[in-house]
Amino acid sequence: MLRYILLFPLLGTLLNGCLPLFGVRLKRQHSVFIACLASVCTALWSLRLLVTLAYLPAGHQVIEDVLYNWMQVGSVRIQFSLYADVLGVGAAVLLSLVALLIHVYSVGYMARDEGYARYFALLNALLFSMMMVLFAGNVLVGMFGWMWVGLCIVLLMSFWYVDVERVKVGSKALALFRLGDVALLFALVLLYWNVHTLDWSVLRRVGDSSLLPGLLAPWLWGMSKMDWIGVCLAIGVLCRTAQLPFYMWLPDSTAGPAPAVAWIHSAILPLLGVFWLARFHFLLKFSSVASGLLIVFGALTSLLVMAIAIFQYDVKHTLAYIAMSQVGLMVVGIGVGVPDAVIFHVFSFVCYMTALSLAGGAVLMGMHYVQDIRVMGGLVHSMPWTHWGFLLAVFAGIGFPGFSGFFSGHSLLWRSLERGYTAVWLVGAMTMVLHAFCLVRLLCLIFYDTLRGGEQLRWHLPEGQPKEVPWTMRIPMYVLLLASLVVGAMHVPTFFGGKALLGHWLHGGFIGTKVTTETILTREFSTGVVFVGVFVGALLALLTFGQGAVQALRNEALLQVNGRGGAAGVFFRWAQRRFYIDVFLELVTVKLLLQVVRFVLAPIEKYVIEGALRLLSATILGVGVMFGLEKREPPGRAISIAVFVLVLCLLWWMLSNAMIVEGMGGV
Amino acid sequence: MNGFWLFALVLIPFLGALCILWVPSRYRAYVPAIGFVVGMLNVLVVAWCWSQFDATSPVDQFQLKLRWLPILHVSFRLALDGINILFVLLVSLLVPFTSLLCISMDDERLKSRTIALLMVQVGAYGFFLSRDLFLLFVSWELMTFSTLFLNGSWGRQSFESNRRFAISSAVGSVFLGMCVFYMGFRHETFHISELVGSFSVFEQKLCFVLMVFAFVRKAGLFPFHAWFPHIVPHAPVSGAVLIMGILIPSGVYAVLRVMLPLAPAAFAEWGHILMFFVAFGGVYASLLSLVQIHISRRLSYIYMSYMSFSMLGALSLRVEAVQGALVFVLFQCIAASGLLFLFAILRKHFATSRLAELGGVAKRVPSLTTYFVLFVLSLICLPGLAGFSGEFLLLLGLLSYHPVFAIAFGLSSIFGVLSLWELVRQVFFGAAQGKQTEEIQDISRVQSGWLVVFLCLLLWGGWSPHSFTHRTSVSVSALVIKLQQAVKAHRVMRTRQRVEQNERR
Repeated sequence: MLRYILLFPLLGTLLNGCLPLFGVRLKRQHSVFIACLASVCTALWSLRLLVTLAYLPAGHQVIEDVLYNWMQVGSVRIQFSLYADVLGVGAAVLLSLVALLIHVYSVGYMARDEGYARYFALLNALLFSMMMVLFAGNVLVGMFGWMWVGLCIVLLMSFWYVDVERVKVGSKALALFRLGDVALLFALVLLYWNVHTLDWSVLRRVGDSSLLPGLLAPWLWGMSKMDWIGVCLAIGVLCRTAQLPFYMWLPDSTAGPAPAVAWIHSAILPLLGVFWLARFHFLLKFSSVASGLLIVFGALTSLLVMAIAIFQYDVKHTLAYIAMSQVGLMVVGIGVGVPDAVIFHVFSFVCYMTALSLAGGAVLMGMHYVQDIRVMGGLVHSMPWTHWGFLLAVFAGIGFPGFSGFFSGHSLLWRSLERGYTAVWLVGAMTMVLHAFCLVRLLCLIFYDTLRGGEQLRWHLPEGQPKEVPWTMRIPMYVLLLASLVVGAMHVPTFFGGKALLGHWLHGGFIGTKVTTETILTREFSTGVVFVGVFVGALLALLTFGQGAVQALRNEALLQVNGRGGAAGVFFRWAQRRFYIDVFLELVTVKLLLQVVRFVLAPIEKYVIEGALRLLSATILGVGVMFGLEKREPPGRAISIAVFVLVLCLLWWMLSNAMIVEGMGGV
Repeated sequence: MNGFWLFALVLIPFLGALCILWVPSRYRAYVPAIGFVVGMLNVLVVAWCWSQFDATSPVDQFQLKLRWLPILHVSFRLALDGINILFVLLVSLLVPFTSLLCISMDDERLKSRTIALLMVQVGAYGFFLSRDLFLLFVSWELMTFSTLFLNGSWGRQSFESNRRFAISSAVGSVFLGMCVFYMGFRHETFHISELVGSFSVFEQKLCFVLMVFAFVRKAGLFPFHAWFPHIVPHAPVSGAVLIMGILIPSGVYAVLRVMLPLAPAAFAEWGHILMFFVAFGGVYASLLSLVQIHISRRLSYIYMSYMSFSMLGALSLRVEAVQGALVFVLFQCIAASGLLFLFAILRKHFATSRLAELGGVAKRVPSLTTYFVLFVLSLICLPGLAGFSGEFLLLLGLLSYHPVFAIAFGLSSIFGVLSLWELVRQVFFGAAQGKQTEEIQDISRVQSGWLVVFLCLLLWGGWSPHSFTHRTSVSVSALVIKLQQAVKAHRVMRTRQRVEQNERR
């Protein structure tokens, strides 16, 4: 029964994507109907799976489904199999719910776009590939879905392909994804080479098996095989979740349609990356190098990116940075070794961040695709529904008590502190403060004060005021906010000393924490400090941008001029330009490489390798000139046919004359 | 009577070519269709062989032995096994495609080109099926010469590149000829399996060098690849498809079938140098592809990089890698042929293949764009399309041989993705450039029909590579074990000799 969950989105993709190839043009409502039906069926089927799992006895909550033999060569045998445990099904339920809402939202958002069939085909394809990752029975099948997710993201980024700039970012992203995929393939191959299987059900028991000492023995450059597998894995996941050395593609990915972008940033990335890491947790816990890599780059990303985000003026970019920073925290959490807390945070994050991004998309729609928050303001009057959605999402995001963000964010932090990672906790706390500042700043600049655009907006807003979005776009936001409350409510008992429902259940009890006086103290301390910090951050933003937004923006505009504002000004300008990280990285990788190819390899190719052949050719031509052959045309038709016939005759003669049948077959 | 089927494979295109000779020139336009029918007959025969093929047995099947030129100890031996079955399938699929779509696109010399195409097919079947060195050599020559004739007169520029192709082929043929005749006359037989293990180390080394030049050149690999990227842009599309789809894979096949079995000792001594060059060439080609400004040159460099790693897989003597190389070659050739054909449509319309002069085609020709993108995705090894299984198996084998080779493969695949996707972006996306872009026609039903066949094959290979690999895996394992034993035996002997020398000292 597991396999049908893949069938629905696949059918949706095929119908929407392939029919145009055969000249059948679907009507808009048919296209929408097919796509939405596919996502509804997926959501229902994943709920059904959840119910099925819940009725299975504890400890055996696993469904397996082997489809067929995928590859079998020599000793290599890989089956196309599916596997569902509580973690996968829980993620699938959340993902398919979000997918359904995104589909509904897209109906309104893409109402006037011509490429609707392609768009919905891509959405369904993304859903299909995500399901493939979540339900993969072995890592290679997971890789199948993983690489398709990358492709779908790239194609959605370049959705409006007539615009060159939007397409250019696609190829950058694809190359970065490929880098990560190659690293992951290396991890897989190393794993297969040592463990001789890629099935999840077997792999998760590697920690208890007799293979472990071999894997932990030093292998190459002082690192064990386990370390190498972990490092490759970490690189793959860092690439895909847009963490620091490889984050260049994420801000660019905002070029796509807003609902798809919202889905990618706030649901696909965390679920995909963190899910994959949580699945591989059995392995990461044996590799301090890989965990260290995750912690360092995750922490660096979350803090640095937040510092960039608070100075941005583009709605989509700011939201992308916020998502990236929170995903960074989750990656850190996996590195620290608290996967259950991370998974809980993923669940709450997906709910509120998607709501926030959808509200951001609604703002864009209302403002007719103006993305600059400097010209917005006062939207609370013209778009009240969107405003309330955005406001509640911000509350959830900054961890207002009662919302899921409150429990999940704090539990992630105090669990890290409890495990002795003080620096990580500090970075996480600072990130949370900046995060709160950034969200409130966005809220104030978009919705309060008055519309600042004036003349600039005349072309975009002929009626003078933005219009509220249709109900198909409002409902998804509110459903997600409700989900955020529900997810939060599931965690309320923990706060009063009860048992965590979601995180532990989802993670199948990989790690349990003993509740002692010390842990309670840590929790209380961490929660208190971070809560106060977040409150101060939010208040600061409110004071700065609440009423005096015009003045604050004017001050910032002054800072943009070179040489102003001293160290703060320099920091401001650098942060606005993303600290030149991507410029630097592009310079030392792609540009340098291209120059080397252009000025070293290409001349070698031209003058040495081709030159040798040219010399040979010229020599033979020279001989031809000596004998006076050069004046003739190259072997014309007559000559070529004559020679050809001659060859044919010769061959025929050889075959017929000298061939004596000695026996046909059975030699 | 099983061997009759293989004989039919060789005979059908030959008879077809003879028939076409007598077609009056006023019916010239129908000649490619005749070529297509002949090709399809062969497809049927191959389908029959494919279904009757016993996948559980590593021995030669459908054997045919006819006495031929007894004075030279040559016999006409054909057989099918797990190593060549995929190549035979490839040839059978490419010829009808080339005949129907590519030759008619060239508009001129339809008749002689179709004849040449069918003769390439005769040569290719002879080459891939042959168990006799002499027959292999003759078929090789037939294949090369027919391709030369097919390319024939195609503008001044092309003549130069075709001449370079001819010259480098001629040099390669001389080397291979010397090697083949030496081997054959030395033991008075040309039968490959009788020749295995009958040469001294010195003889093997001699032949190894000659064969390396011949086969590496044939496969268009570093450093003897100069002819290859140069001819693809200028050759007619049919010639380019044959070169990419048949001639270059034949180099990889020959290494597996002839070079490694006949000269294992030399390979044990010098193999790692060869492998280093091949791996370097793979990365080198993928890097060079990044700076190419012509579609066809970019495609051919990327193709060269993929073929380098197939060759590397074949040389690594790991079951997974060899198997991966076979599947990889088959599917990359199919995808590349499809791409070449689509490229030819663009070249014909725009009369240029410079990337800078193209752009924004997608809006006008959505079907062509979709096919192009799908073939590119297969070429860059996206799972679900056929390249992926080959890539995974190759990586697995190469890593167990030496991590450096696997890293080289990974690097070149990253550069390949970057380069191919940039190509797609520049040609198809962005704003439409000029009036010519407005006038381009999308592909026709007939063209689309055959591309769908290719696409289905790629999907089949992606979703179920097992249905291809299970026909080959037993033979591959048997071959690889035999080769590994030979190489190991030589190494053991060398160690013993060294120990004895040391003791004497």
